[in-house]
Amino acid sequence: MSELIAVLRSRTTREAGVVTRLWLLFITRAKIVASYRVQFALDVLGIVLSTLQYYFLAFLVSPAELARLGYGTSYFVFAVIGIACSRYVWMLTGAVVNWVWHDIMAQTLAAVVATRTDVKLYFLSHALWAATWASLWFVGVIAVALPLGFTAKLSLAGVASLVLVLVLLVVVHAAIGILFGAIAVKHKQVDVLSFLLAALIDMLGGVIYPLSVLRKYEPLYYVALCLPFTHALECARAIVIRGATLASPELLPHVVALLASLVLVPLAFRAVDHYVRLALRDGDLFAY
Amino acid sequence: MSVRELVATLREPIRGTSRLRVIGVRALMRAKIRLTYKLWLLFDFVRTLTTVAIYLLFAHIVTPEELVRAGYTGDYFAFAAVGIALGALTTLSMRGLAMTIRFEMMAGTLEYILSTPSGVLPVIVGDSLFFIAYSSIHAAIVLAIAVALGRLSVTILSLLSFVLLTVGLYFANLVLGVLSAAMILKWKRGDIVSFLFMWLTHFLGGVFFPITLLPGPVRVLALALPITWCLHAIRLSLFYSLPPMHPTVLTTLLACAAYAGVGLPVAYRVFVRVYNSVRSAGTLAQY
Repeated sequence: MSELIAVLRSRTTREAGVVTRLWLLFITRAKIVASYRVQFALDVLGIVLSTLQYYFLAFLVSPAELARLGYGTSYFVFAVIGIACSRYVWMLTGAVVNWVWHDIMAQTLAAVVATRTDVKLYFLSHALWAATWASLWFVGVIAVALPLGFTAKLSLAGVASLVLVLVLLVVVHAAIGILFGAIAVKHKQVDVLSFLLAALIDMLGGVIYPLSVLRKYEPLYYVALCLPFTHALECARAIVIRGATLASPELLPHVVALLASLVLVPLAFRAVDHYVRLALRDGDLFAY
Repeated sequence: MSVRELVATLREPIRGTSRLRVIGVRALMRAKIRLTYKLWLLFDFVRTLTTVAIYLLFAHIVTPEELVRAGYTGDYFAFAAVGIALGALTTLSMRGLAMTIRFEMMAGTLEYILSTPSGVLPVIVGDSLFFIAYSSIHAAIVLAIAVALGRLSVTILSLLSFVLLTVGLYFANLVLGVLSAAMILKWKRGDIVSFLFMWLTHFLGGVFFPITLLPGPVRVLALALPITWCLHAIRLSLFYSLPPMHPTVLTTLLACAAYAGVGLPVAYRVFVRVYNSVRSAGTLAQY
């Protein structure tokens, strides 16, 4: 802890550069999480139980209908990809906002702002930890699903494509999380935003049902297409279920939509600067 | 009722104030606290509605075979709606109580409340009453949506069966609720209790899929939970308009009565023993 404080207080130099600072902030978050052992055990149990729930739910789904919609014949594979990817959203938006809010209440954020470390690094470390934790969840879900019959049509290009899609998913949603976190610095209770986004994604993102079902409710279908998550999930499913790669023409619209969402990244960092400056000017940094 | 009135009622010896009044005051107090969190309330209802919408969309890809084989009609949304309603009814009420006890321990108010002459039982029953009422509103909304969408038809007799079975489920579930409260007092972890309760209900209770899909030994375990057989009987009574005198409804009601009759005194004794030990150890305010 003393090392962390010393590094955060120092000027950015070669010895205590951006990566070192980010790493120390990341490790701090990891240590905090590791100290909640029961919560960790509950998370692991959650992975097993939610995977099992979709395993049994899969017996109810018509393989023919799923295949007709272009998602192969196994609903279990379809659902596993959905729940594994949706965890990224929950962690990168909901959890990051929650941590920022907690740090505002505990006055940790004010302490970080008072150091010579760029506050953007602090936000980035939250996003990094959220992405790491969600990736562990992703791997955990797949590991539980494998003995239950989860199969994937993955070539080497497919694996690379899947990793790239997940990176895009993480970057875009980390930007959204950081943006919400930045707004929380000034406007405090922004759970509404992260809750609404999570509810929208749960409902319209096609986590447990195929996106094409929404074509029966046309306006909802177009709302779903506005969510970056929808495109990332469609790509991930096409790669795992149909053996597509990012070079496949069918994925082009989704990849373009995901790349266009990257505009959120500079916007998020600008928002951090803007809201921290506002909070410092108005003396709101300590208020909650 | 003002705060002063509330404190005065709680401080009054039980001889002067009836237990029913203490229960009513406690339920009212819990409702007033909950009503101050308007945004949270809104979120909670939106969450329930989101779940309904998700399963309405999911129903488009479900085939009726497994549901029919399990004895239900082939409409998955009707199946899920009843499951979501009953799931909300049990998890929200039990989780609410568990988290309230935990929160009051952390805030340091539990020790004061339980030290008043009102005693522990009216306080717990009063809180439970509020959570039952609150979760019933969620359940009613879900079922109303299913009826409005024409996926569920309700007759007076089936509604009567539904109400009786739900009351039976409350009493049977109270056994687990009281044991959960004892666990929280002892181990100070409301999150574990509510997590386990939620997952047991959703996974083994047959909320989203019929328990006939579970492997044999797991199905036996599922049958140890009152929600499993109550939910089955409630679905049958709503889908096939079963009257209260139908053997399925009567058998389930008798099973609920037996479960509560045997389990409640045992659970209450366990709770009192844990409560006394925690009080004598002076850890009631610890968290």
